[in-house]
Amino acid sequence: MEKMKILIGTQEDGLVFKLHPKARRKIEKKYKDKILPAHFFVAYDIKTNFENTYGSILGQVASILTGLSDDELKKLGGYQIIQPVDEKVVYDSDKN
Amino acid sequence: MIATRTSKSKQYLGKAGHLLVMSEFLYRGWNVAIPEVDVGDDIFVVKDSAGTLFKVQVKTGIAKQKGATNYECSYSLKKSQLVEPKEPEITYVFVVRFGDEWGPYLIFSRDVLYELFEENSKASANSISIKIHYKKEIELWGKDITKYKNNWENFPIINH
Repeated sequence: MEKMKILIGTQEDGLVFKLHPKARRKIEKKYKDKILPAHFFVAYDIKTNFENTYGSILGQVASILTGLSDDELKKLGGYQIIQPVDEKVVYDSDKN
Repeated sequence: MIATRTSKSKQYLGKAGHLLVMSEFLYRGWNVAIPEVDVGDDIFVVKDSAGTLFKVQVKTGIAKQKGATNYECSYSLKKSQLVEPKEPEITYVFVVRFGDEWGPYLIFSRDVLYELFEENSKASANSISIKIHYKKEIELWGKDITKYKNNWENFPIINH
């Protein structure tokens, strides 16, 4: 089963996380009454401090975006957080 | 009609497209501004009552006639701008000049254009080539995109 993708966008003032359209459709198909946010934004006032905690935030992104538990996400095939420009995987649910 | 476009004439064309789109937003009751420093966002559109900000990228081109009633128009986009999620999100407005008249607006959220790109284009370079065909229907990458013609649903008319 193909892993769902979460896209990450980096800006000067924070990070944007968004479900890939295919992942969004997959969740909406399985959980028909689920209302998913378009995206969410993590702002940081002090970039250095933020980057110190960056790793721990990535593990929570999928739950915030989908409202699903780790088990539910696993049943859907797991997920990866990727930088869409170079398709670099910055987080993989199976490796963390 | 201008036959070939120099760098300077492209600037004139681009600015004409910006102002055309800004004019339409104003007509619809949305406030507009051009950023003082150009960092890639063409127009800021603001809903005055709520202070909600939208970023709009305008792409302007001149159509080439292909047959009696068919036209095509080419644009290019930076891949990084299209594929990366942003806050606030970007709306793309494509403007086309047919001879002595402006054609319809094509309006896409970044999401929609990204999905069309991912499903239908194999481009891997930093720049994405967009060729829109204006026939009875409007097509991009072989897909009918007519439903995005004058698609102002995210910017309804505001009565002040």
